[in-house]
Amino acid sequence: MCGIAGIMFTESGSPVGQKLYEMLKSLQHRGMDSAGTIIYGAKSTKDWLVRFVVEDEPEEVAKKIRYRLNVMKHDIKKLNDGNFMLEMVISGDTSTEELKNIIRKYSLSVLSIGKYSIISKDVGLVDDVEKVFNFSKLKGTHGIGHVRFSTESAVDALHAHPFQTFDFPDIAIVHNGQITNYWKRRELLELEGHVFQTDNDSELIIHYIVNKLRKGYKLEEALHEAVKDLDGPFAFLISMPEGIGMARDRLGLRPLVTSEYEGVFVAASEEVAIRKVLPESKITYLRPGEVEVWRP
Amino acid sequence: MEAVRIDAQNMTPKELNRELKEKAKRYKKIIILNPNAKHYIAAGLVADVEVEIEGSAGYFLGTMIHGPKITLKGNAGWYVGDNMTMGEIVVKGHAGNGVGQYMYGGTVVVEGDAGDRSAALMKNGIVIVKGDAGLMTGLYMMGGKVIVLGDLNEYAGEMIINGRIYIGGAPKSLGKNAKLEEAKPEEVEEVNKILRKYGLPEKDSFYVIVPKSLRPVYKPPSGTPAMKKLLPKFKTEFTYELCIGCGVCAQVCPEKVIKMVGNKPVAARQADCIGCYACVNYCPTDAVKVFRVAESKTNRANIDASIYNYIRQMASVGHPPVVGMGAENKYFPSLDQLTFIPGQTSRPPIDSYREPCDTEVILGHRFAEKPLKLKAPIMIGAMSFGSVSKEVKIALAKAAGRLGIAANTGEGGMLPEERKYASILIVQYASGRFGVSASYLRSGDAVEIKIGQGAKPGMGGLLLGEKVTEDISKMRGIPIGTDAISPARHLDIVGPEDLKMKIEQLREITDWKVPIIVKYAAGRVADDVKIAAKAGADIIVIDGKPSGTGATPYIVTEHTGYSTMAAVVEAHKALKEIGLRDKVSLVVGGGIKTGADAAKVLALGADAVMIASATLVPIGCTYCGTCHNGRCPYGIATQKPELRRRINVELAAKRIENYLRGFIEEMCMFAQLAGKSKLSNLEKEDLRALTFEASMLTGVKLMGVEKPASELMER
Repeated sequence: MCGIAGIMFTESGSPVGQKLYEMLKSLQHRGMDSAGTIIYGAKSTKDWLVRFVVEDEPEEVAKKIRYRLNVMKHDIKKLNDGNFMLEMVISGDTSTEELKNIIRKYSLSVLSIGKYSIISKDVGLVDDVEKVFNFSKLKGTHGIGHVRFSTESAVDALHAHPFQTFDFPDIAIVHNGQITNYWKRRELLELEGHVFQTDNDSELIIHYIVNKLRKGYKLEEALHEAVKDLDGPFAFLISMPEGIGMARDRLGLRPLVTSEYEGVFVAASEEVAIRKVLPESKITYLRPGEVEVWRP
Repeated sequence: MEAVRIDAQNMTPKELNRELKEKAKRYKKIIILNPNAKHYIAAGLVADVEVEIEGSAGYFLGTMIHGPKITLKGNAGWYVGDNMTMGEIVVKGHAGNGVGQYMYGGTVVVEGDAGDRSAALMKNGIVIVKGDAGLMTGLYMMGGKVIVLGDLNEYAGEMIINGRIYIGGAPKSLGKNAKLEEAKPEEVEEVNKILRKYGLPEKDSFYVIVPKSLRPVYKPPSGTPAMKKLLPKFKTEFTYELCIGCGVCAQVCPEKVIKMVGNKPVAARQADCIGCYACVNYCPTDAVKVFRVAESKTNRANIDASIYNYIRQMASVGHPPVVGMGAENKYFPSLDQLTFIPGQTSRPPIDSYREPCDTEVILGHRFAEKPLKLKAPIMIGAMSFGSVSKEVKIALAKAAGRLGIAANTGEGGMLPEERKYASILIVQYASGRFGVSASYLRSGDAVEIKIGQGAKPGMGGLLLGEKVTEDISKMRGIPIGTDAISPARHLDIVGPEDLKMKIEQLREITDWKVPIIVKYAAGRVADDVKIAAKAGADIIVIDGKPSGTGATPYIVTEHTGYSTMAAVVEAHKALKEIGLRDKVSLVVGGGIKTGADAAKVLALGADAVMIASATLVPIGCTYCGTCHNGRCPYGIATQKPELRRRINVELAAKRIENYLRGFIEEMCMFAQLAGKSKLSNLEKEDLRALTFEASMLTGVKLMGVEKPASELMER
């Protein structure tokens, strides 16, 4: 499924949102179901920014959460898929466990959760998502984005990419492809205590990488292991506050090109997106099974 | 020479290409400004014109062109010169993957570096890369020349079948079936001559990559002495009182079961009999009879005869034996588990002797300017020239033409006779792209992108070298005697976004006139159907099980697939879910033999049905399954002249026509008895399920309960 893009600057306060917006626009033909971005370094505080998807009565839900947690402010917007988005700024002192308990208690649907990053995603074209979130105005250090052509899972804001699992805030993935040994790998990870929120194969990659990182692998090594262990066609970018990692399947079934010029790193499904940012630089094709990591 | 400029800044690829085609009629040179990496520039341009592009191009630059000389000042995206047949493309910058893939002629020059899989499945022409080339250069290459002045990345010449790859640098590693040689002096001179023409640096010597074998995928028997098959499936009996000793039975037997002992035929190797009934058919005095023997089990292990003989066969040849036709598997649910219920007084039946039954159907009216208008909702399934004989193709085209239904070229190119006789002809675009060109696609009334086939889902195709005769080699653009390989997937359709781009590319080439069909083997039906619909297909064809094919490993056809009956319901539901059911036409095939099967599939949600194997029965096919080795005793699935002579084309066409006329009448009878005056008005309510299983699969009400079985489960 889809078109993916990623960008990293060496300086903070760079126009990550604007550039991702342009790149995704140029990749629009690769997927029109939904779009989204995650941008790092765009938040000024260490508070949680949590976005919930609420079907109806968002104020009621907000009241319930405010009662339990230290919420600084909240805001309600309408998503393109017809649901409401309840956006909350929650005190940074709140632990992940506390947040998770509330999410479980009220069976809340989490669109995004982050301390260091802002995820904007919804159904529709890039411009439709931009209308709701205004992500092109966000400045920061790095970010990744996605336009989706859905294959085997539902089309709604929750299934849009960047995909995140709220067990690991601030780690997100954009993924073009399928993992064809999903259930085998999922069972192994579940034996190690990972809890899956969805049946989406992109979530598996996050769990897989986090699992390896926790065992002390470096991101490069974790990505190499992923290429060995995950089957099927894929090209993905995984982003975290420390940087962006990327990998291509060992048969090279999905495209991924990168380029670098004067400290600006760009990766995308097609060259046309890279040209939006770096009109003249040398293009490098990620080779089948190759991985790459950028750190600011 | 007068030149004209086109500013592409605010143009869509469609507008740019229309403008380009218009201008090419009047000018000799066209300059395109601000191309902005647009896809499909100059797709299918047939003209003797120079095109200069001032900037970069996206995917599929100059795909299927015939004649133009294109110069690109910037970089090119993937698939430059894809499937081109004549002309020249010079890329001044770098190019992405798939340079010159599926090419039939002309020249592509890349002055920078090229990506992976350059010249993949190329049949002829020249690809020149001044810089380095990526992985798998010359993948499945079947002819032509590749010249790379820089280095070649890994797996150079992977599975090369024919043609030559000249390298100025060094390959990192060679692919399967590739071998490195020093180029001969006269070859070096020839290569340098080509390089001179394009102002590229010449070299004193070249390495050349050539194929090790012309038939890399052909697996010869292991050489182990053959084991006898022990358990016969058929019994051949002779009535010697009637026998005149003419020996025809022994002569026509494709498996050499029958032997003449003096004037007397005997079944010498009974266990080899495949039940083709050729002896019965050709015996002038009806002195031979063949009976099917009840499937016997061996003593203890509960192995039945088929699998027992199969293991013995594999023990001799050393690889999985191949069969034709399709599965013996009896466990796939059959449409026979559904039945029509009549209108009586609650709704009156329509009188089939007198009252009308409309059979016309329009398919592919979503984006195409000229949708298919069929006189009856039947498409003849794709059978390539190669897998079946010329006589069969012509007979099918004639019958289809007379009935106003659609015929299909299959993937082996188009016979001129086929186009002449078929009033509606679908041209197939399969992964081997044999015989594909802009003019081929434009001469069809619809283009079918074949993703899969019901009998061997997820498998590629292979026409064995034995069947690649002179005719076939000309049609497919490959040398005589080489294996014609169709990979398991299109090299440029690996995911949904690729399918979307492919559909747009084919629309650019056919000027948005004809419907684009996507054909799937039934599998993850709902997901695939949604993808094709969203990618912009006009018509979706689902091929379920049971279904036929020219050749497939026995074990694959027996143990893969998805039921036609369940597939049609899922596809129909998937299209409804995304709100495109009225826009996208649904055609379903797989095991449809009679008007009853077809009417049931229509009632379950299809707009039309596809039949293929069953149309061979009127020509003489007995479903014996010997389609793969060229020994078909009825001249159907063979290219041998002495066997093909057994077909009388005109008589065969007439019989197919009769069969299909009856078939249409059958469909009408079911519609009318159910109270409909139009075939397209058949619906699920007209059916009842005889078994719990059929009701669960289709949602049709279970007979006697008047509820779908799924509702019973909920309670």
